[in-house]
Amino acid sequence: MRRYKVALSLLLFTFALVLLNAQEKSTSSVNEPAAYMVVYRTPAHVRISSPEVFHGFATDLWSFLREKNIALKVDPERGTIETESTMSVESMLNIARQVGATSLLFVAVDRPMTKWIKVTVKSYDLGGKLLWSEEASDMGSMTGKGGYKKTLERLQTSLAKRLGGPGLPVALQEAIAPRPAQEAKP
Amino acid sequence: MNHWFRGLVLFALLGSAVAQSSVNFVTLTKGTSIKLRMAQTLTSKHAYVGERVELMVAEDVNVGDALLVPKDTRVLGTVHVGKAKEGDKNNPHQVVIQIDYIRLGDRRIPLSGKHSDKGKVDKGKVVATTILFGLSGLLLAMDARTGQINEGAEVDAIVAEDVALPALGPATKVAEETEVPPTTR
Repeated sequence: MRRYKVALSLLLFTFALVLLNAQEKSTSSVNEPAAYMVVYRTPAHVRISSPEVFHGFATDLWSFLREKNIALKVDPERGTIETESTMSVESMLNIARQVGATSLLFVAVDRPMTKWIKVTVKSYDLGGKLLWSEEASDMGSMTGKGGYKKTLERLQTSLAKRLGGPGLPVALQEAIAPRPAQEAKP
Repeated sequence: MNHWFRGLVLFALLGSAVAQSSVNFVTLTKGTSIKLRMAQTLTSKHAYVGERVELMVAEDVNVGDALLVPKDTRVLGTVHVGKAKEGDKNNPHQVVIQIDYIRLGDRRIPLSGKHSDKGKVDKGKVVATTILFGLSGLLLAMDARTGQINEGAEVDAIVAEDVALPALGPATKVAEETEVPPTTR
């Protein structure tokens, strides 16, 4: 009788392990809300400004969002996409889905003739619906550096009201991930 | 009594083994052709050597009765011929990409293949600028060529090495071409 009990316990233990394993697999596929950031450099910015300004703005925006504990999905292949090439929203959403994000944060860095810098941030859900859009620019500053600073401050102010809302979810874990190396090679 | 005990232990071990090994692995063999499509537009004005390129699988990849790689799975490539570095103002008039791998979950399936585009000369523009500006107009028009690979363009690649992949489901049927009956005259 005692052997029966031991065997039965062993059997139950094994099945419990199998069930736990299956549950772990199913829960790991459920995504925590996180945004995937893609930064695009417009042809006008390519013509007039420099890649350093473009990448600098992307870094500053990333740092601001992470300081505010916003969940940003790190792409294991590329960090964040920072590109001069055009890509449709559908293609960006496809990548966002595959890295496990729940929304797309599309940032366009432009350099119109009359402004030092103009930045547009658009947030999309995975169905392709535009959740919101924010824009910041500066033309009054004496230098490009000043224009950059003012634009970043204006954008931070307008994004502050969106923090924790749709498209900019707060990270469930407190740890602040460092900004991934951009364009990690295979 | 002893037999019962052994039987139960054996049953438990078998049960767990079956549960663990229920995933069916199928080999995607080296040389298998994969149809891809561009997920971004690349031009020789902007693309620089070493820049990552986004593509996606154009059709489900099936082996036997198993679906191994679903359509729209992410594929990564690299610019092979383009500007020397980011920020260069020159236009090499040609862009060549090298296909690197499919990113399926946490896995990389190595691919090989290249795709290129040499900028085309706009004949009308060449004639017009040559008439207007002579030889310098001709040179200017020839220099305006831009190699461009558009988003959605079809790209072919082949699997670079044998890879065992878990079957994601039953094979999907590719839409058969409908036969058009010959017209009678």
